[in-house]
Amino acid sequence: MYSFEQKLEFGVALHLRLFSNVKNTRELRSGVMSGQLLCALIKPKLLVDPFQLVIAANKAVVRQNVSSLVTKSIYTEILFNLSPSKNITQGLTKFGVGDDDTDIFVLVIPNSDEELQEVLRQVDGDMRPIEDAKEMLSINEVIKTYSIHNDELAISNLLDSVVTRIAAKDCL
Amino acid sequence: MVVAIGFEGSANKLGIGIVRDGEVLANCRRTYITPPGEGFLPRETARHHREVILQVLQEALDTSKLSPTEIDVVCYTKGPGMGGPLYSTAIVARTIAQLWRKPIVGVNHCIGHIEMGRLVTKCDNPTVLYVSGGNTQVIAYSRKKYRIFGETIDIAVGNCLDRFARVLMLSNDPSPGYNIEQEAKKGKKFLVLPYVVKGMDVSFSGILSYIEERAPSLIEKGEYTPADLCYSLQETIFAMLVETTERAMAHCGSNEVLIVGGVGCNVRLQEMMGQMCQERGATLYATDERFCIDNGAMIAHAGALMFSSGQTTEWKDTFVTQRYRTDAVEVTWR
Amino acid sequence: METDITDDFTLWKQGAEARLFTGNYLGKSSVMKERFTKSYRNSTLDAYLTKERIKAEAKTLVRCRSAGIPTPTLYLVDFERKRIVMENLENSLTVKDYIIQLSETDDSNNNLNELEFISQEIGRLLGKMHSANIIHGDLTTSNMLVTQDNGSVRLHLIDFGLSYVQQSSEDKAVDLYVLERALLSTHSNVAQMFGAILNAYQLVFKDKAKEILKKLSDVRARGRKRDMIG
Repeated sequence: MYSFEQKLEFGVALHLRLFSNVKNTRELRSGVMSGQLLCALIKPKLLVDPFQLVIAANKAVVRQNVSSLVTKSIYTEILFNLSPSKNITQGLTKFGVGDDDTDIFVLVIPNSDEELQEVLRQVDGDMRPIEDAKEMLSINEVIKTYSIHNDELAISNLLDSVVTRIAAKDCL
Repeated sequence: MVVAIGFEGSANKLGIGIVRDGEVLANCRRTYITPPGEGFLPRETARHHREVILQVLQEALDTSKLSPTEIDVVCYTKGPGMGGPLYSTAIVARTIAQLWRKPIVGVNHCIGHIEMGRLVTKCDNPTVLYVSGGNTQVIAYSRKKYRIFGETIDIAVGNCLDRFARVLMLSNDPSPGYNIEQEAKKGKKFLVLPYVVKGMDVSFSGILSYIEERAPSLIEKGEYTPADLCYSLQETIFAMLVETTERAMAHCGSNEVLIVGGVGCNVRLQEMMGQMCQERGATLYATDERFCIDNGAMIAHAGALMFSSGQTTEWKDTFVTQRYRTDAVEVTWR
Repeated sequence: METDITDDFTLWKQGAEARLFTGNYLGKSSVMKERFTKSYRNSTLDAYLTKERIKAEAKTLVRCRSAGIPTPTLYLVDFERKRIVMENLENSLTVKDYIIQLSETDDSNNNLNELEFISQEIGRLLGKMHSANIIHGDLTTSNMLVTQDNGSVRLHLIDFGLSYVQQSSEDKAVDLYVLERALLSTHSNVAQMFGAILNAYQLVFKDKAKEILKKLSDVRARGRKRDMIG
């Protein structure tokens, strides 16, 4: 499966693609930062499952609907939501790609199919099946980032632990 | 047909009532009122009761237009309450029972409130909120007992209000709680206080010390008026009571609420409870100060119910007890 | 005009302060707990309590999980709409219903074992919970769920709206006292159940359990012995 799509709240949908060997990460990043490229560029290393992105993105959509985003856009908000830290910059660097990254999750919540296609057209890399992200995942890194201990893993799967933390972040 | 006379003196009210088959023929009462800033103490309260009890007894007999021979049973509050006042009252009840050669029945004070509430409001099987200076209980009837579903784990709601009234030096006439209620009506600004509900139990001591500690400086700095603080305190503790009552109702599947006890006269509490009931399609039953506040008729009525179901108290058991749980009484009349 | 994703949720339970709905949320079978305004409450107090309880619920779901106590996975916290959305534990029963079901089956020997087992599980989880200084605040057999998977029984704790973090033995004792009273008003073989609960509780929570159980008898006595004046 090369594409992942999930309906979120308020009638919007999340679209996800995985790319390897991306050659223009630097340009993509600057496009995102200048607001010309409407998507989030995410490192696959800390993503246990696309559902993790669904929870973070849905939370951003709900927040945006009542104009209470913590960060400047829905896409930065998703990166911030993924991060257990309340420090925005830390969240963006931890979960967002750097200039040298070549494996990238592209997450789009488009208003139209054209908007989605326009974003995907800009990526110069190889599209991969979503499942391949498992090979790029570092479970140890996830466990460390979200501070999940063995007591917890004895009763919960990793994904559930992670999404619970993402959902509860502003209550902790 | 049973005619019962009831003696109540477990706290600062001395009441004597005469009831004939649920018809109140007399319900006379005197209240021992202390100066602002002071609570009532057992010794002084007992002295008050001793001083007025014969006068009140005569008044009750006169009002009822009955002679002692027409009375079938003498009832008195066995407990719970303050030792001295309970004892002073019981001794008179015991004496007239012997003089008049009548059987005697010791009544649980809380049961008196509940049965009087049921009689006056004609409700059938309510969840009962019993709130007074010494008690805070959420009660429901099940399997021959009035069972306590929730209660305070420290001080009673009335005690909390009374003690705060003392901090503000409000008058104890007619009662500190009444004066808090009047002040609260003028309050506008809400101060968030600790809100302590644990399951169906509540706790007030933390709230009291929180507000006692802060009140003087909040008032002095002009941030809150005494009225604002009375308002905030009432809104908070009454919300706790309504919430736990609702939980008990949900638990028991009940759709009636009866409020009894001195704090039950508070119109704001009744109003809040009424709103809760309305929202869940339940009915609220409350009584006015004649029966909410400790009185003799309730002891006479509950005693009459016990007597009619075959209960009398043996002479050796006609003592008083400061601690007497509502759920310790076997309900033989329901 | 977009429709609410939860429009096709169906009302499942109506509680005193929240409605529970079930439905599909983001592809998962979910429960939505929506708190409502209590009109009898001062509006400032109401808004404050609602927010605090939503917060407490979410926070404790994470803390319990960290402490190795099974709880539903959380999907969304929404203060604006006074909601949380979480995992629907499929085929779960409340411990209350589970015990009632046990008492309705014929095999009385087996029932005693099951009751003993579930009581031990309750004690074990509560011991873990209190070791992590989590106070539930409203322990009843309706706030515990049982799931059965290939014959293995697992207990989950829910309903953390009144929960908080506290080290003191007093608060832990009161937590147990609330459970004991809830048992008394719901079940018949309370003495046996509560005994088994406390035994298992002591086993997992060795060092401080003694102090807490001593406090528990103080708390009980307070109820029994309190002077009740007026």
